[in-house]
Amino acid sequence: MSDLGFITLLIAFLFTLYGIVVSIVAAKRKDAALAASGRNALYIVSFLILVATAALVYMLVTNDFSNEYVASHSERALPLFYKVSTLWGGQSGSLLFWSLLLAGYSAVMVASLWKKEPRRGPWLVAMLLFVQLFFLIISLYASNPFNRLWVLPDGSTTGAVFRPEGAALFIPADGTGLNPLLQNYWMVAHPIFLYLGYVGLTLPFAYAAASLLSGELDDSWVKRVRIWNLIPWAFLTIGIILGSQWAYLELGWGGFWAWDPVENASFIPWLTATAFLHSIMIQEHRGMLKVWNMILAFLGFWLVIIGTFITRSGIIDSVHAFAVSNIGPLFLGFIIVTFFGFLALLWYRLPDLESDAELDSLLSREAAFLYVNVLFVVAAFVTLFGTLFPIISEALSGTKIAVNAPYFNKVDGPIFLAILLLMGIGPLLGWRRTSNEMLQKSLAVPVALALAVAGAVFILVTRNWVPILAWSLAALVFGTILWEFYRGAASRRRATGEGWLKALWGVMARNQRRYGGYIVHFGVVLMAFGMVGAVAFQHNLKTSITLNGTAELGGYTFTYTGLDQNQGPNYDEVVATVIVTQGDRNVATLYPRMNFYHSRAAKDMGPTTEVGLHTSLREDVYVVLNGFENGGQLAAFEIFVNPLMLWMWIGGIVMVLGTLFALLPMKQPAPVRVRSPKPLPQPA
Amino acid sequence: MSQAPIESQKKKRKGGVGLLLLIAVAGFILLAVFYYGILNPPSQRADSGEKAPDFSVTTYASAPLPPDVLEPALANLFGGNYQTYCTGDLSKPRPAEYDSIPLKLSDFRGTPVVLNFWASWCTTCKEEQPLLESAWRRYKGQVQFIGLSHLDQDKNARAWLQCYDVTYPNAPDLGGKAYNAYRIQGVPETYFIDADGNIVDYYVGAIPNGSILDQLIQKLLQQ
Amino acid sequence: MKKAIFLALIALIVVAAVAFAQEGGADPNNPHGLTPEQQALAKEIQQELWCPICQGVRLDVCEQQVCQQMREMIDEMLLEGKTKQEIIDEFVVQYGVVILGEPPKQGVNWLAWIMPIALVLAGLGFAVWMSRKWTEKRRQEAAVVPVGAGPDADIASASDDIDDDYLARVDQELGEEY
Repeated sequence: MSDLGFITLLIAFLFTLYGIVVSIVAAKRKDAALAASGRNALYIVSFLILVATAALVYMLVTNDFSNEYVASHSERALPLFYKVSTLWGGQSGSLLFWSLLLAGYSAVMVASLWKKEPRRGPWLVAMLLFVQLFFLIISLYASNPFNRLWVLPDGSTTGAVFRPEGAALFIPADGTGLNPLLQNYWMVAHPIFLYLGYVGLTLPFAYAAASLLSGELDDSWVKRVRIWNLIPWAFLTIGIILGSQWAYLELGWGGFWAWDPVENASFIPWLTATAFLHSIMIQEHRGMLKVWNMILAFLGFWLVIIGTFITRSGIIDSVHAFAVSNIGPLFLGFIIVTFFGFLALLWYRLPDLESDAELDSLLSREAAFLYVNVLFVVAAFVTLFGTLFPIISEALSGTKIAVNAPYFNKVDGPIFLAILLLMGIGPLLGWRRTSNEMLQKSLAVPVALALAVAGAVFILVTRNWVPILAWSLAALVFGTILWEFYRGAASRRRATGEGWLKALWGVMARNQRRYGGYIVHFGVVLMAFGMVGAVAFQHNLKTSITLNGTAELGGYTFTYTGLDQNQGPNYDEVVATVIVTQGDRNVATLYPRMNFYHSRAAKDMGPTTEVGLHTSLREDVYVVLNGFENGGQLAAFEIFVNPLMLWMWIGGIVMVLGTLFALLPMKQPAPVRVRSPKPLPQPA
Repeated sequence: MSQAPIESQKKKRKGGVGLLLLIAVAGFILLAVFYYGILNPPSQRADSGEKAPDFSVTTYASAPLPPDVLEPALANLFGGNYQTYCTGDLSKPRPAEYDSIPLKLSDFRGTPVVLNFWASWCTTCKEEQPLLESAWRRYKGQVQFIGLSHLDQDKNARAWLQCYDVTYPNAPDLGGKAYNAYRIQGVPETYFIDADGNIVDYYVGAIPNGSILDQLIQKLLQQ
Repeated sequence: MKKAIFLALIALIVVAAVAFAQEGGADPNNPHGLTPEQQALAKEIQQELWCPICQGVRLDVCEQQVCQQMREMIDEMLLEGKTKQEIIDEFVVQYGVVILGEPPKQGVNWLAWIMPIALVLAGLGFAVWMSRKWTEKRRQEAAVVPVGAGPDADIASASDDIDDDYLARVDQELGEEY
């Protein structure tokens, strides 16, 4: 089965080469038949990679320990569910998974665009296969999931596809097991969404490159590329939120985001993809920012590769890091090649990308979009810089320093507050210009809301200016969103005479992108609301409690009543019972636990903890069991009270709902009949 | 009027060029950082054949800690029954010749050196320490032993040295300077340095038994 | 008399027991007997320092032995009467700058703080430059044409009407308009 997988990948590699060459020739000669051949090669490659992946999954599920990857990441006792997820649990498997998703995305994109893109099509195929080629090279040459296990004459074992000199096949009785930190439902869902996001960002890049290569550079490219950026962006958003949920629930340090290099590696491309989402609208609408958009399409992809390089090459220590491997130099080579290649391409086509941009006033939506775009990209590079700073510092001064959360909060925080401000004002601005009168009228409600919230927080909660500013800006955005919904519904109502609700639905359904966007912004508002509460007002307490003793935190009383021991499928579990009360009221009974896994992989790591959590709209109560003595007479706990934490997750769901609203086809309500077609001031 | 469009065309071209230039510069800097990072990963320790980085430290005081400080420290490090565990006389001072003196690696040019990085919070170091001390006593005069404690505190380190009756010089590696210079990844690690100051070999982790240590020292002496 | 001695003995035992209980039964959460202010300060310091051998783990949540030793050292230094800054400085000498949460503002590490500002300025500079490029034509026109005679007048007067017409046109045109 390892052989089947390897051979399939090898054939896929050959077809990839063929597809690239044929597509380039077809594009240059404008030969439709050749182009079709190249496209078919892409489909064949996708199918072959699917077969190879299926082979690996089959080996995982049937405990085929002759395969090195299966033996080093799985074990007999692992539940079936996790055996399948082991596909992306280790380095080489996850890279094959990457190839699989890229293959799937490529096939879908090409199939849906082929008929409409006679000129770009072949170049698109060539670009997609070019990226696929790189990942296949990595899988075949540097990190191969189809290595068999061999035992060498000197007794050591090694993995290889072909039999090394004097070696014999080696099939261990059982595997070393999956990292216990990966044995939970979040770690199954989070990588899937994250990879769908990462890999998906290849598509806008390939499309942009195809546009540059084919010379077809009219503004239709942004219109077409929009959805191929939006869908990966949505997956990436979900992936990041799931990741922070996983950190919150499984790692037991009371927080959800540590600005760890791997977390940053996912956040940085998200920032540029979000910027791109918005600047697409400018080019769609006004034909501006053409070069900027090309660069953003490139950055989305390039920063994903850079992020992968940073976390997998071993140049940065990270708690998330996979085992350090030899793929670093290959990734660096790919980063360099794509960088110079795209730069050269862009330079070559620069004259065709000049916009005849005209703006009447800075108080316009274009300007707001421009500034917010710049802020997103600056945030991305500031974060990237901070992540790489330990290397820079060591290179320049020889000392090792650490860059942790306080730094990132200080440098990124103000940028995000500025973005919030623009989120509040931007939607109220018109294209090209906005009259002062109009702006003042629109801003009235949002500003009033912001000031009211600022005052309320100042009086009732805290004097600390950071939460006051953050919450009032969130209120500003909320006010703007409310105003926009109101204004839209009111306008439609005036025109159609419908009732409020029907008018609201009508204007929303006929402007899905706009109102979907507003819903997403509302989700961001909720997340900001929750984040500030959970970070700025967290209580925590590290304490040892004797059996039947108590501890106090944040108005709650925690009574430790007992310790039990259970057996899981591949671990032993120690569970503490903690009763949480608030005055007379019984709040919850929590069961924080420690899991001691049996596998060899787990022995080095020590026990994992599962949090005891009680959540409500007001705050989360979060208890971690850290240790115990004397058979449970004394137990060590870490207790957190996180105000407003739940709002973060609610905000995340709202963001997803907003995206779905913008994307899903909807039954269109009746169009508005024009009453008095007063000519609008036309752009000159 | 034909002049104006060409003029504005030129200006516009300049615009895109400016942005490209900015991106190019940013990209170059990034690639330089990556290149450096790839060549100097954290995992690449000082290797055999290289010059051993010099360091300058001050050794621990040799006077024994007063019992009210020593006993809780020993209890924290070794558990309540540390008396059965410790080989040394807890009230005897350690050698006066290494009492709070400045120490440099280059002071020992002309003698082979065994340099051990350890810490009082390091559990595997406990198995290694007695081996190192007995080897020091056997090879005294031929090989100089030096111990550097990493991320440690005066009280705990001295309690450790007292407990194991360590008689070769030990010093705190303040701020982790030597640790970083040798690009070490964890404790314990032991470096074998010849009389000319070159690294002959190194051992990552606790040396498991006396014979392996002997082999390494023999190899060092043969240089 | 016997009764008095008996009672005295009981009293003695009770007092001794209480004394022993206070000594032997030290609070595991405050083994060094810090005052509440000192405990709060200890917690503050623990939340500003980071585990030197972990990645991104703050000192107050770290379970490693080196972190336990560090927390003990903080308690002892507080009992000696040291201030927060003195304690942090001493830690930097012993453990290195790696225990600080952010690059210290000295030497090469100033770069960490200057770069973000430089990036923001560069970004804003680009945005301003771009804005000027976009409004160039308008500013040229404004220099020639008196303000108020242009399309502005229309915009300034209408608000609801503009909205309605705009939306009407939006609906008229098939497909999405933003």
